[in-house]
Amino acid sequence: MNLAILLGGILLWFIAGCVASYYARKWVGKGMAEYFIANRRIGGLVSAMTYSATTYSAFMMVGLVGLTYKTGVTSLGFELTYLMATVFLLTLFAPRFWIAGKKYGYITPSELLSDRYENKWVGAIAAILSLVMLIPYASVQLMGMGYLIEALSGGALPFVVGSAIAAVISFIYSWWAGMRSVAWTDTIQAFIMLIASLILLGFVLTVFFPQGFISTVETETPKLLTVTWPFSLFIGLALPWAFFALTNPQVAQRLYIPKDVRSMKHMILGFSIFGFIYTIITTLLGFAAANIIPGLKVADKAMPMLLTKVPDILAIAVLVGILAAAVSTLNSIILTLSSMFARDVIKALKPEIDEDKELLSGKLLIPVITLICFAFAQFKFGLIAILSAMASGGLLMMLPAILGAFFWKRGTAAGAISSMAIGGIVVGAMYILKLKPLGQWPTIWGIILAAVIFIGVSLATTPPKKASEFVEYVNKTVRDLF
Amino acid sequence: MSSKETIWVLFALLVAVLDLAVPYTVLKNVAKFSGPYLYWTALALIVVVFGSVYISRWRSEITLEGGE
Repeated sequence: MNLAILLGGILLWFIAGCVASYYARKWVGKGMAEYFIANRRIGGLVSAMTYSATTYSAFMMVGLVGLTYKTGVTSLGFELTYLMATVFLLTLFAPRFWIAGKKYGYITPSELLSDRYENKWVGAIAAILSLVMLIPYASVQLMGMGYLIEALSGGALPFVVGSAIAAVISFIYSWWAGMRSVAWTDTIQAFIMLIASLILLGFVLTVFFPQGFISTVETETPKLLTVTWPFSLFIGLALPWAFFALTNPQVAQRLYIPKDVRSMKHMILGFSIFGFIYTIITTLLGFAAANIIPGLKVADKAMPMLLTKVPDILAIAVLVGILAAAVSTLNSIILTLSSMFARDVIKALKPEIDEDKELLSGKLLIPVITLICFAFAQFKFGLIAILSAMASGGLLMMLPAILGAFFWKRGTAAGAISSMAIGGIVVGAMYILKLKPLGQWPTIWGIILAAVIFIGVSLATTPPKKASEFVEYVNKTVRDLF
Repeated sequence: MSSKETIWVLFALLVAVLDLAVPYTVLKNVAKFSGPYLYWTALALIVVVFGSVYISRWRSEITLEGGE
């Protein structure tokens, strides 16, 4: 691929994001809520697109295409299971987070837990668990970009340069105007992701399948249309992803940002449509790649190899689409982790600091977390892949505490802390030691353990005074929605 | 939880069962796009459409007592 065209494509996308960030900066007022959740003033379209772009990372166009290339239709089932679960969770929990956020002034999802359980350590533990789990996940985005740019530039841009480009752009988009620049650039990036992948699919289907796509796949690769994953694998992978909308703070924090109920409705609807279309496109590309370039030993190379078969200009548009997917996920994670560390760790442990200092500490954490992710990516550890897979499983350990916060008045801080800490440690250890008792994945055992600990410890301890007021207020206001 | 939410949660549980049970039994070895592929796609589309109908019933204006 021509290096000048490659760099030109990346530069164009970067400039578009910078223009959006520059104008976003003009809207930013003072304070933590302004910087980290845009003062709850984001409209429906931008809320929907930032939610979508944050959720869907480079995994879709690289990982999911590769997974479909290798294992077929079960990959589609896995990804659509995630989508269906998220639609249900958003319809049930988006109004609850939004109402609680507005009523009590929350900025981070873990702050909600600290306040509801009346214990700062609940939020601090949730913030630390998120930090430990999400940094490897964020680093994988940088690693993916490093490898992809290196491959498409024919080695002219080595791994370190590709991952540095993604890290620098993520930093700029998140630091410039906080949530506003992230949300606005995410919106541009969501459209790039969708349009580039759609054009690629159209090109691939018309050029490489003159006999018809459906008949070719059914004749040449019929095995890919059958369900091949063992049931335990499907459950083991689908379960943590099914609750992603609640347990991943970078998406849960977005439930605070819609400016009104109408915007929240548009956010849910927009995400549902985006997710459905994007999933169908990426999995169809996986089936197509299996027929165009069969026999690859490393399935993750299916997309990079497919891009060598299409015109340069289209390949660059898709590359920018994948970069956009990676950066839009990465900058959201960096911003959310910075806000959590400032609010739920620094402010919680040093309550005497004023809001200006709290905001400054949050902003200073943005380059620090970006650098940590970049450094992590440079090691290219095989362990990072394990840690990344562990991320969704580890974050799932927050589920009992989150559900308990909204629905179970008897849920206590001791129950929440012990379930998150013990569940997180046990799942982490099982992943690293590759333990699968009775053939079931660590997340299955972890979530059972976390739920039992949460319920048992809560019943043995005294619930906080705030619990009744919080649960009754939020649920009553949700009933008033109808 | 209101009765509408309870019905919605029961529908979600039904979808969870259908999402797993049908592809892993009767459709498992159907090597056609009209097999598991169409089934999962149709099920997801139904959830998206029903979800949009569900949220369309929310009032656009609500009063938050004592909010910011």
